[in-house]
Amino acid sequence: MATNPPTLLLLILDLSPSTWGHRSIIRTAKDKALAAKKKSSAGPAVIDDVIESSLAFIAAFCALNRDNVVVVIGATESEVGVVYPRKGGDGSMNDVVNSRGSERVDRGLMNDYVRLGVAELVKRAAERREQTEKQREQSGEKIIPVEEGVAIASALSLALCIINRFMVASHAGVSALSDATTTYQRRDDEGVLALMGGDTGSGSNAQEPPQRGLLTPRTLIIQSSPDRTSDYNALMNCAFAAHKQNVVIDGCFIPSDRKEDPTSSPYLEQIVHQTSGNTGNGIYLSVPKGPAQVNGALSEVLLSVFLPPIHLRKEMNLPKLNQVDFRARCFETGECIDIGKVCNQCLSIFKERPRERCWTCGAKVRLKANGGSAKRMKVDT
Amino acid sequence: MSASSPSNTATASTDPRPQNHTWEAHSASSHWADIQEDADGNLLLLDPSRHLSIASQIRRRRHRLASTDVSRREKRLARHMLRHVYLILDCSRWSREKDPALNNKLRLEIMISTSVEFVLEYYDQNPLGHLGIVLVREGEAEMLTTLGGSPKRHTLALNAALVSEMKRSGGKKGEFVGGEFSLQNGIEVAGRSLGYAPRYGSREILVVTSALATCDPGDLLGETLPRLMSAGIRVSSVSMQAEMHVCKRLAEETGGLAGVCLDGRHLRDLIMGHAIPPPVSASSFEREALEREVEVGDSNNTTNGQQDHEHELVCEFVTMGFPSKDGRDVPTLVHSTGGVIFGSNNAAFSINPAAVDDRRNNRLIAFTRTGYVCPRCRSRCSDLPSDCAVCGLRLILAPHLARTFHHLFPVRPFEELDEAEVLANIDTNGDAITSDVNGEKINGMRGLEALPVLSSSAFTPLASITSSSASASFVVSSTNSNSNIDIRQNGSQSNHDTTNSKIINIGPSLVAKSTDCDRCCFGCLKIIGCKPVPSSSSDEKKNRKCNSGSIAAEETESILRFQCPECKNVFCPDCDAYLHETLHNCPGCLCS
Repeated sequence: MATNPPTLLLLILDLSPSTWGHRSIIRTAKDKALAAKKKSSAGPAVIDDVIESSLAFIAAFCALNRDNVVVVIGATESEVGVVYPRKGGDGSMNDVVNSRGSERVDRGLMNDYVRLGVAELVKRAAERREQTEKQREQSGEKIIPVEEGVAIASALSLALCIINRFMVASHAGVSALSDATTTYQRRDDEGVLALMGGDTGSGSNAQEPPQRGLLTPRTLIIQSSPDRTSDYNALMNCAFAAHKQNVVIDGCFIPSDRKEDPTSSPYLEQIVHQTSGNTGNGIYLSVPKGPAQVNGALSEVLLSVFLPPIHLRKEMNLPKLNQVDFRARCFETGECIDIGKVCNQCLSIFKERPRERCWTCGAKVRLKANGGSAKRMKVDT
Repeated sequence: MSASSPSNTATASTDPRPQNHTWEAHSASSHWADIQEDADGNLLLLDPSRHLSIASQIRRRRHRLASTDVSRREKRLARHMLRHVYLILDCSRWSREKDPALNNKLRLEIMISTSVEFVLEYYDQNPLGHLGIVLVREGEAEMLTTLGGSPKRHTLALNAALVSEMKRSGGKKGEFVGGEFSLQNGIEVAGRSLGYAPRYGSREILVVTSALATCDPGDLLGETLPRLMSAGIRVSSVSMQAEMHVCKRLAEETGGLAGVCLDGRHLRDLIMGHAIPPPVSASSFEREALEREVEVGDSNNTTNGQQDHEHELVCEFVTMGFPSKDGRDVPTLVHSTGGVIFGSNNAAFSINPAAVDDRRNNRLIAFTRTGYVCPRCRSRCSDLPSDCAVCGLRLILAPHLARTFHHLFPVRPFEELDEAEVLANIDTNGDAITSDVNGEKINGMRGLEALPVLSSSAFTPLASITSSSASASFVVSSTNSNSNIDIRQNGSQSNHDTTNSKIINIGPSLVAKSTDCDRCCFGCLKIIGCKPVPSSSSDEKKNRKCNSGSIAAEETESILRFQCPECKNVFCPDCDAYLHETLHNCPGCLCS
């Protein structure tokens, strides 16, 4: 383990009150029924389980290497927030980035911050929901309801920003902004350029690629709400940016055991697949339904699947992502299609070629008869 | 920077006409200001940028990126989403010279290493694009790689070319290794191949030259240019040495861009600028318009960003396949480009991996467990995007389309928050804020420097997460605390000056919006827009444990704040650059 580099873990928690409220209703009902039969709970996980398991997971993660760093981000329907570390105060983000203090993760503080932060985020989301409901009642008209799902794309963007900050800091040397040599290097361009490894070819083309920062970044998303369609492009942007910086994204989906709810998150699958292209070791897991989600079993799942350091993963028998559904959806009808017509201006996908105008960008469709004859324009020589 | 406007000179290096170039705008004497004498009487050339604070450097960089941005990436424009680009590299004897502007390295080396970067960036930005590379030396053009979709192939070929070219230079000591540069031959070779590129995509040529002259068999401007125009090929050029008139003319006529690099970094900026898909040019609109006249004329105009509004956007639908990934227990035959697959441990066995530089793409056959199944002919291929080896269907993944979308819907540029203005606003709002002064900050400081002061909150009890009043004792004596907002004004200090500096306590409260705390970056929680409390100010350091030293270093940089015009969240310069240049998302706008 001597070569095990310290890791920066970004943990993204889905805290959407509506999802978890729903789960807890199901859980209570089921538990009652099971208790009548003197059986232990087998219902879906509720938010307490997840928080508890996550904290256990973080504890284990910090135990792997005392230089490991954890950042926890919470996401609700319409808000995201970094719950640990906070912007100021004790063990603030500044301290963590500049690795001041003996240990980089203050566990007691973290437990408090995470619990309090989760509570605050959930409260705010609930209040917000209440307010919109009230407004709707008052005005009498239908206000567009808050979109279901959770702002995972926003949380992931935030996570990547934070990774970027860590990398800038570690690349320039810890708190080395005062250092004369690095300030000189940072002149003009490099100061704000993301100084991630390999990305810094500017001006120093023939130099060997700079060493990686001290920390190996990785991200774990724990999601339980259904995907949000409007987030797709943003998620893909995140996936490509993460891929560029060799950030491994792991996804953990916690399904409820109702039939109507999705059992998996296709978007999460896709971003995990997209970022694991190089090294092939991003992990996606949809936690099995039933008893695997309760009574501490969730901690076990997290620990056994997501804990191993990235470079050990290929030696282990971990869940593999073999079949990923990449089929696109028709922009018009919404059905899944294998072969589609793609507009060359706006890249919308249609099952049938629109007759006159592209539905999305309004461009006029070039008639095929004409297009066919002059399909190829040669440069005569 | 230089050379962005027309000139009528035959060769720009010898006979510059006194207009239109940036450097000509300076009066000649102004350059003497940059030269100073040191104590020993040596002349020193002062780098003007050296005097600038980091903040103004960042501003300059933003400004420069915005101004040299060839593709206007911040704007919503109609763009060529499916590009076909040929990169013409000048490997003539001119490229074998060491260039003092480029760290005293061979131009060839710099050019090829920048090109490798460009290839990667190109495919990153345009997953659906095609790229080819042409080398020009000895007055001849050689097709290094044909138009294709595999970055691996190009980078391999480029690296191999660099090795072989360096060997040639090393072997013969003569200065004529590499011979002359022939622009016409290069463009003919590339253009002929581009002529077969489908019409729904763009056709572009990017020339990187080191030569000061071109040695052509015919009349470039007379013969080749009209054909380029008729085929709608856009020729851009980046010169490593000096501007060539012919490049400039070609760029002007075909709607491309001509640039001359100042140094290595600028060269990289110029070349990388071409990785962003260019706006659909007016000339191609005219072409479309001409074609449409033949068709049934129908004048329903769609507005189109900046171009002439009379031109209507015309689109064409391209049939593409969206394969699904398929894993099996036993390895099966797949078509591969030889790119990714041999590196991974997926491949059980592969036929002829040596023929990676095979002219035809996608013709290698390998045994692997996983592959993408073509929806039309059910053949399997290993890496995407590519054309199906059997039926020729263009195979892509939905993420590749999504990758390209950010060009169409870019993140709006963030606005810099002017500190003086913000403070003035707060004051007029009477937001329970009283101006406080610490005497030493006022003299001679302009608006921007009159900053709020960050007090390092050494310790704040947890209770203050929800009730902020508890942390008040750690700020200065009395505070007007807004209930949940961490900006606290120190009203009790009784210096009576009028600068707008105030004391902010950055506590550990949650930031889910920048209205919660507008002094820390929404993205990375970096504390911005304020300075740590100077330890020398005597009345404050009593009740504060000050660890300002570490923050002081970032001071100049961290006074900059940028605000997203849509979600009003505040970001630090690092996140601003990262969000716009790499991520293409605004985290604030995503959670509305």
